[in-house]
Amino acid sequence: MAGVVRHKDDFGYPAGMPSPGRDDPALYGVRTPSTRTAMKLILPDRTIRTVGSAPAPVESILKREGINPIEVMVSRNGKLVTEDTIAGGDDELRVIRISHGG
Amino acid sequence: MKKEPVRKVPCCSVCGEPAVIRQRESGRHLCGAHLAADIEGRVAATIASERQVAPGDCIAVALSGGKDSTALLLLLHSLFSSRDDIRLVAVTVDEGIHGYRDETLRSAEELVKRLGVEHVTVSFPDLFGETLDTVLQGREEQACSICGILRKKALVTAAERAGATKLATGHNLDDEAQSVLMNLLRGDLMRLVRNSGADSGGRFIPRIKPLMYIHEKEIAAYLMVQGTWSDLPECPYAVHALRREVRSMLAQIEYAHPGTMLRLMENKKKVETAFAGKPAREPLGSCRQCGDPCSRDLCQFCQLKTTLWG
Ligand SMILES: [Zn+2]
Ligand SMILES: [Zn+2]
Repeated sequence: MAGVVRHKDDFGYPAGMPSPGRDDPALYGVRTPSTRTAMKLILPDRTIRTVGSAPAPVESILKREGINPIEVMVSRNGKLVTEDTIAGGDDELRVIRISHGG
Repeated sequence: MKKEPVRKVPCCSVCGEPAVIRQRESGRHLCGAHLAADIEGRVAATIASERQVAPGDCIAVALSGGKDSTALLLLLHSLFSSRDDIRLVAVTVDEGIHGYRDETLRSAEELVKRLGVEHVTVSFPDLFGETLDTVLQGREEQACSICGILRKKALVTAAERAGATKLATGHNLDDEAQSVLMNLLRGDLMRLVRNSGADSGGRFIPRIKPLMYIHEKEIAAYLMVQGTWSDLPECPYAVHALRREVRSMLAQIEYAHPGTMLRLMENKKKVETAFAGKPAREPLGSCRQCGDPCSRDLCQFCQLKTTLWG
């Protein structure tokens, strides 16, 4: 489970898993963005992780993935940000490795 | 209904614009423009305090096309392009690494063209009769040490062809701090105090490292801001086992204790000062075969030449 944050929706089901409440319009009505949003984390090897939408510093998101913040740059929605930036909602974070181990 | 998350953006400590980097030693935040100004100022200060450049110098800038050398050429160009008494020449070595070198060479060529800087390229086949790929067949384990020796020889040759009086390389603070630690771990104190930037008495082209106090991450962010960052491929031969371990360990210590890399450099300076002019410093002789300055009978290049080509 290396660092994947599961954010629970209003019905107690983690994001990314089918939720009877969230996915049943009869029960829940119109889907609201707040229950569908999640941050997208693009890792240096181009794998994509979905992490919860709860606000968190970029630094702690990286640390959960086992990444040392001084070895990478992070762009949020295409703009370079510092590791003490608070990310959340549907932010797209791209992690760029700055040195190649050689 | 949940509230929208707070999207706090740290601001530049100088102008209040959104910051692109936090300098961990000072806790200062900088925007792209102020990061560039800060790096330029620190590089100029390093060049001055280390007496790296003098009027009349022709600086050969080692340009591989990778990030550090790209930043080095951009910075030296912005510091010196308006000076009549200093000449810049980019020098590039084409080792002949299939599928890797082409992209970085193209990036180097584009940069020199854009800046209008003279460019001298030498290739392994020109100098040694074969590419790194063929030299390394069956010797992949020693790739980095073999390539290092051949590339150094090639760089110096290119610098000589360019008529250079200084050879500038893009080594950054992370590289230099790693080297200090590696020399200690290997028990090679002499290498620690051997200052190749010292006045050579005309026997070799002194090497200078203007980025020696700039963090690798600052360089990457600087390039990103300048729009010259590109995610170039990794060298297929990268097998620096010890350096890789030291890099990752040092990065962890630096993260937990900001300023560690700078303190390693301060220690190196202290040892250098303590050894300056002392007989403990190895006397510099000449290579029996090629006459290049070296501390043994044969220089590293001539030793390797004998191993590779008899
Ligand atoms: Zn600013
Ligand atoms: Zn020799």
